[in-house]
Amino acid sequence: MASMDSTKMPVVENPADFDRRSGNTLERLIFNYRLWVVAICLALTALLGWQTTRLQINASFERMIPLSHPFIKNYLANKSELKGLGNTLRIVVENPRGDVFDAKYLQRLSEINDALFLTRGVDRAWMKSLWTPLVQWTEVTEDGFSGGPVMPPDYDGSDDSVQKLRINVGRSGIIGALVASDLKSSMIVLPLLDVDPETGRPLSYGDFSARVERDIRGKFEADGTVKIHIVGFAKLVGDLIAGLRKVMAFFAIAALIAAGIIYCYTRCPRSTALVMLCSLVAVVWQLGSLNLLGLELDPYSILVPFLVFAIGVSHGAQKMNGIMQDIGRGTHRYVAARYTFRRLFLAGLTALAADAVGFGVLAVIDIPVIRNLAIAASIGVAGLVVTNLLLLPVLLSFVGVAPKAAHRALRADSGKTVGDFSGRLLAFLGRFTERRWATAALVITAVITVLGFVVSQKLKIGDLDSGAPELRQDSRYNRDNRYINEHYGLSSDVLAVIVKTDADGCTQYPTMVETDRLGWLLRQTPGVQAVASLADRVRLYTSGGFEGSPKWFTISNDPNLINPAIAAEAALTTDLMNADCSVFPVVAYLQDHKAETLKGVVETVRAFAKAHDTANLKFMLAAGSAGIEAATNIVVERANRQMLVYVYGAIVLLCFITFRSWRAVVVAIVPLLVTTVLCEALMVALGIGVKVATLPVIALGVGIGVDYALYLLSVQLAIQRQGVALAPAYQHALRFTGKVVALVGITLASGVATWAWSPIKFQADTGLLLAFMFLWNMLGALILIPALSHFLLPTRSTAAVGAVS
Amino acid sequence: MICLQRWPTARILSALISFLVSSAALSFEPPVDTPAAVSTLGPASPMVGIAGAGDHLVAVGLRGVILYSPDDGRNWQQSRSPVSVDLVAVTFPTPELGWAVGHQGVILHSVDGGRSWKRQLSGKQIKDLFLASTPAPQAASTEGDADQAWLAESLPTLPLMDVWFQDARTGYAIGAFNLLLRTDDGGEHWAYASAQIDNPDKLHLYSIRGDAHDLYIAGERGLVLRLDPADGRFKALPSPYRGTFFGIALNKTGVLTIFGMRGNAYRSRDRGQTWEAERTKVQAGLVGGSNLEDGRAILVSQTGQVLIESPDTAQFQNLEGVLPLPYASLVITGNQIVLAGMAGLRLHALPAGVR
Repeated sequence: MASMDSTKMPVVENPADFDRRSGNTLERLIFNYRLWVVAICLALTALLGWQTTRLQINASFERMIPLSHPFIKNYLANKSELKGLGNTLRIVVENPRGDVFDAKYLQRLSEINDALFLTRGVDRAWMKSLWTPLVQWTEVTEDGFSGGPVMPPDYDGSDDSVQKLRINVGRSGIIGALVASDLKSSMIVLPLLDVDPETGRPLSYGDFSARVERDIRGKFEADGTVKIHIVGFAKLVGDLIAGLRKVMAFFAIAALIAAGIIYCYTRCPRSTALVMLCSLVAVVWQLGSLNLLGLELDPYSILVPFLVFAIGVSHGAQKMNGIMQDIGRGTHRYVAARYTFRRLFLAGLTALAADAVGFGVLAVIDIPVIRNLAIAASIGVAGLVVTNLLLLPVLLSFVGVAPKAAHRALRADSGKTVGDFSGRLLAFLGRFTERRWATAALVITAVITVLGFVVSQKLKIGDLDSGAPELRQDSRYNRDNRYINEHYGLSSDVLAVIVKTDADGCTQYPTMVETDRLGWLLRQTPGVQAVASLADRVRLYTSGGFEGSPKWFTISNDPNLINPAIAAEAALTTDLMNADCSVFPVVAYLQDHKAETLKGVVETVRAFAKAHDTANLKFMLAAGSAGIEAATNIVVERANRQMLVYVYGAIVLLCFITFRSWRAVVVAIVPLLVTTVLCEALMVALGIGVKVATLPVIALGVGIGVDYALYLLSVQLAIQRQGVALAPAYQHALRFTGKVVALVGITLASGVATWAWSPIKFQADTGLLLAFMFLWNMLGALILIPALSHFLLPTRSTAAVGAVS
Repeated sequence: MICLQRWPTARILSALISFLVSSAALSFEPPVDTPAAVSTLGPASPMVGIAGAGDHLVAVGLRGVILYSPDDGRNWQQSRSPVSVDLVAVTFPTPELGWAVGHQGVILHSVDGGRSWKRQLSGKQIKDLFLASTPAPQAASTEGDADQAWLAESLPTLPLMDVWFQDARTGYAIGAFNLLLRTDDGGEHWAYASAQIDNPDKLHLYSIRGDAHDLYIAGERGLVLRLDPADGRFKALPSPYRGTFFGIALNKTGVLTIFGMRGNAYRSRDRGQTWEAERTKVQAGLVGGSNLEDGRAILVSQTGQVLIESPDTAQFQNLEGVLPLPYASLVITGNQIVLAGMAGLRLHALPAGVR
């Protein structure tokens, strides 16, 4: 353990008087070969900086998915058999001056349809619109069935052919699905490929979305003939990526605010700049390493670089403060840097190790984007060990600090400023080592925590709003989404149950009856707007076979009636069954994709499958956007607890290794626990659900919070172990590291608080949560550590606290 | 001893395994033997047939759902139904006694105004009735015998399409492939009566309606029949149309309206001897109908039009403001109609002065 005994670290004004062989091996290795350290770091920065410029930003549909969840396994195993249930884009083309039965509108729709057809990444065979042959009508006449594509094959733009189209639309039953209920718009459904056929790489949603924005919206909306609304996962990610420029700007603002506050505190431009520089170097290393590892940066782990920067500032400021105090006492900057390294390296390393392990355990969560985030954050924190614990002191040993700043720091440290604000604050915080204040603080904390806990029980998993909660309610995407929800009966939130049976099994009467039963059950489940399945088609065709009589709208137990119905459906290009009719979906259109809705539907299906599955007929969850979301919710819900257990486990272990005292571990961990509980309560209050985007925030917050406790408590304990009473020991810790804890807490919180103005709702939410955690962790450390120490860590009369090294 | 002890263990294990396997593969519960599930959609459940039962209304529909309303269709409650096959028609000759029919030859009976139902008959029993009514075919020697054998095999799958009772005891149920059943004891016993129809092509029978004097059946390919009380046979009437007739409306003065595919409707004032084509101006099939107080016919189409006959001319007027949903039948209660269809039950007011 680093010792605070000043007799061991005498003031050395001339580096020549300093024993270069003092300190441990690492210290000697670093500081006796300073130029090498700088050179290596420079080379690394150059290499990784170059890599950073090549880093791709993207998010793929599959990376958002918990790949080993049974729902997803079922989906992936049957993916090739289920059409139109994967990642689709919906493009609604609105006629602002009339309805869709307008030759000019149809002409424009055709142009858009063709342009989309040729867009790279579209699964063309399954594209649906008024202009694709996939969309058909059927009618019953005296002579049996007749039917064909909704768009008359001889369409020529004449009033007659528009009239034909109008009749076809009427008898096709696509109103509310492909044509708006008010007839003022129609939809183009665009299934997307996973892999870009030209590059052979995963389809870049950023590029795809930008292409659609430019070549479709930009080109066809310009003259006001039509209005275009676009929704779908690819568009959402595209919008998020397009918004990243702004996110970056907010990162920059946060960094500038941090720099400004630190400068105001230190009044030393050199060291402030170095702290910022080293933290930025860590970010560059992190981004560059991602590219070296073949990873992409996705919108959901975009906050990681900023967190790395924030943690870097926290550690950097501690180093800078230590060096500044030593220089103020008259020690040479080289020696001061070594002293600070000696005192704080272990605490810093432990804190960063706790961070790295804490983030690393996020990798157990089986969702690729969270794994990426875990890897990115761990790499970033590992980089910080070098940049902010090694490189920063080395650089400071070269440039030193502004002399004026050093004297300011010393004045503050020596307590000569008692009476000014800072002194009064230190004295105030010191009071929490006294019984009365400690008791009051703990009682109040307990009350707040219990209240917070009660509220946090209402924490919801998944999306709480309809549309895309990642974006603001008034964003273009969410406005488009609302337009489509208001004008189309069928939502884009689709949960499909996969029915699996033997080849041609769908022609069996029991299979169709069970499928129909499930569909009927789903239709009655809250949140389900409509259900579509092969069973409905069989009813329709059976009725059609009897001149459309509603009395024949049935599933007959006569195979001579089921077979032709299935054959009629197979003759169409259908997405309601596969080629040999062994896999077919029961598609539930949901009102929204809120967690509650999904849960109800999943439970209904599970209960049904349990009662109705047989050896050769299985009802399996799940496909469709909402089906995948349901699986994600289940994984996220489990992961939310699991993750906290792992993060805390890692931190408890590292704290124990550092302090060698269970009591000290409790003192360090309790403030973090309080923060976690209150943060969950805050999420409830702000209406933020736990989902892939927000899941890691709390874990990251805990990781950052532990830094404060480690810096403060390690100094306090070191002094106490020399027999100094708690109150003076805490005062010393406050002056040495506590002030910087307060500074960093305020600095980072005010930086991320500006995110509240971000156009990306997800960043705004994250900013609020992080700001809260930075502040509350800081307050928790400064108030609860002394209060808990009063009860748990009083100074023993002799060196009874064992294992002081 | 050891051997004896070991054997039972293995047996228990294998029994356990076979139990687990069998419980994993539950057997299929056929809808004809499975009571209808509770529908939380209530009156939004897809319904096909509807009828008045005294001052109540009773509707039957898909998956065996039966609903009844004590207040002219404002509120609906689900009845206990012993089957979950699709039901298509219902009739109440008295306020308490009612019959409903549907797929797989199901006949249900209620003695409490439609609140609860018992199954009187199903297709398997119809097959037995058929076999009892005809001599066993001789080793498929003639074409007629092969036909008979095929019919016997098909009977459990054939739907009943309509039901009509002239009083609490005598009634008829009709269905696909010339299926006719008759009872004279309120359904205690049903008789296979298909032989009493002049329908050599075994066309499907879709609708049966009668009054104190006459009883009519309409069906596939323009089939129209009237019961000849002299010999108890249904005899073919001249048909005005070669397409299918889905329904019959018969008013109190004996004026007959038959309607069917592609907007076709015909009126007869002489018990079906001559027909007058009516102008409906719709292309969709006319699938359900009834008569207003004043005797005019009111019809519904597959695509959601409600048509009311004009007082004098042979043409129909569209009732305005009806949601265009796929309807199947209707019933008149006071100054409103209740429409039954795939989107459920809907109330619609009749224009002022129309009852």
